[in-house]
Amino acid sequence: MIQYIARRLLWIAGTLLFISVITFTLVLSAPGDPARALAGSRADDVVLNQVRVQYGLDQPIHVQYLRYMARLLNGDLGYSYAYNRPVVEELSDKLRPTALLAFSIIITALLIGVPLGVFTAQRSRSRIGQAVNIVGLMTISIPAFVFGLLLIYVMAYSLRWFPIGGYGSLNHLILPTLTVAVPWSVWYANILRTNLLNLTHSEFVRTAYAKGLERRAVTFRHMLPNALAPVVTMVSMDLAALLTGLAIVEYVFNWPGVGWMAVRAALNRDIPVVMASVLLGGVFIGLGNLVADLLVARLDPRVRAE
Amino acid sequence: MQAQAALSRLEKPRPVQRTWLSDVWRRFLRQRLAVLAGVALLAILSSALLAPVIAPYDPEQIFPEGLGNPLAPNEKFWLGTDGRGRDLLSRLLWGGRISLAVGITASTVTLCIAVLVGGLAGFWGGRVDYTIMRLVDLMMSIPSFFVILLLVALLKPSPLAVVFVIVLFGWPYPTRVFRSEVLSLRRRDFILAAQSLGAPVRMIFARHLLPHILPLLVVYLSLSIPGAIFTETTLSYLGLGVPPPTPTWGSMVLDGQPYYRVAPWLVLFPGLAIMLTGVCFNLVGTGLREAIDPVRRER
Repeated sequence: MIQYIARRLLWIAGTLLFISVITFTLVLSAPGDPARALAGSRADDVVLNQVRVQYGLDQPIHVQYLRYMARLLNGDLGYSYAYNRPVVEELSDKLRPTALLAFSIIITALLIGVPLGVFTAQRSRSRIGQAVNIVGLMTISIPAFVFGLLLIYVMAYSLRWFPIGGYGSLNHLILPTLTVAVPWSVWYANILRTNLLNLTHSEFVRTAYAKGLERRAVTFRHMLPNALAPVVTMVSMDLAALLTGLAIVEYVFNWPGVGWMAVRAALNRDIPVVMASVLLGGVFIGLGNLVADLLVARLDPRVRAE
Repeated sequence: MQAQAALSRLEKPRPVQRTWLSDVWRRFLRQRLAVLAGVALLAILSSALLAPVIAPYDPEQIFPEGLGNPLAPNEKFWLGTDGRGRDLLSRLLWGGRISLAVGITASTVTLCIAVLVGGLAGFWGGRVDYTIMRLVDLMMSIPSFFVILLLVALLKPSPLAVVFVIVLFGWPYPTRVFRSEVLSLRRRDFILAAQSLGAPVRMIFARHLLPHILPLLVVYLSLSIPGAIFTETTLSYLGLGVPPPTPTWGSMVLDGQPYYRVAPWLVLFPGLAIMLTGVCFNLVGTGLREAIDPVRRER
């Protein structure tokens, strides 16, 4: 087990290395002066020269990359010119809001998605099941920013139930959570329902009924754990997409998280911050996948054997 | 009399040509919702295609009466004007051209790459497969949206740049799908027969594998176009996509956002356009899937 986790962590480190090479090459090979790109368009000649020396842009590329990596390993992600402070400080401020929003989204998506999946699996032919199908299709057909703006207009502006945006209280959390959690929960419900329906004719289900268990017990004790494992895998595969949704929703609702920061940094051409958020996103995806795989192993003994 | 008519009908049985394609078509037509979506989709596509002909005004023309205070929908401007006094309907029609063109181009290119790369990996197996699949794994652990942000911050935004970034991060997942599809086909007898007759790989690919993958490809295409359109509209909404004054659905939402209190339709109409297009592509895609593969239908 420990060996497995160690191997996975090594793989994550490898992907992070790959990501760092890519971002580094991108920035260096972009048209224009890399010093200009790093320092931002408002920097003057003094700052540009300072950046050139600081980043060793007069050195050959491999030396530059090694230096960049050395700085990374020391926890130095560069300097944000738009915020005028080290990127590390800027990032660590943004981690808490993002973590809060992400947890709130995942929990809400599961709280809606799992019951919905079980419910519609038992009534897949009914009108309710079909309605859920179509509503589900519609919610995954709306980009996050449109859905978010729609929620803002109806629930925050017209009905005045929630604040329009910002960070601080539980009320601020609800709309951004719903924006991502509603489409995702319907998506999970769909997968879960398909899995449950595929299980209805399997032998262990028949056995469970044969030994006299009630439908509820069969569904929750025997079928659900089996049907849930693929959903967890799915969540981990969709993690990159989830991250995108998170970034957009943070931007729309002015939620001061990592995504909000990355989008604003891209708009301000604050390249060191964007580079750092790419790496941080890589860490999120790597660790998220690891956690999901461990969870699946807990849920499904067959996977554990591998 | 009636019996005679029935008899004559019996004598001359109408030759019914039932091909695989006609079966698929019949099964597709039976799904009312998918057909409806298909018709709507055709309308959306043709209205975008015909924008230069049917748009009432130049999308960038500024009407002084609407400058700074968006006009509500009226007889002269059917959907009103935006904050800069431009006709919203014309912009919506023209904006659809960019969003749809980017979405369709990007998904098509992505899927072509995916079929080729995934097909090769699945067909050849061994070291080629291993290398390609590890690359896919690597690409899938990249936080693509943040890299896209980095790319568009570095590159000059243009429709082509947006297509490029969508393709760059879009190919890994479908590659995996088509690889497993080819992998399951590869061991089948007809491929083995072709191989033993000495058919070159290129021919096996084009004549024997591709026809089997094609249905999946069509379904996948119509299901992946909305995603590509979303990426484009999202980037344009963030102000990182196609640069102004060229209208796109995403940038129209961005332009309309400051006026959402006085003129909510400035956000609503382009938002609805994006949503409707996405729903239609998804409905047609799932409809096609059920028409092509009715066995796999859910109960």
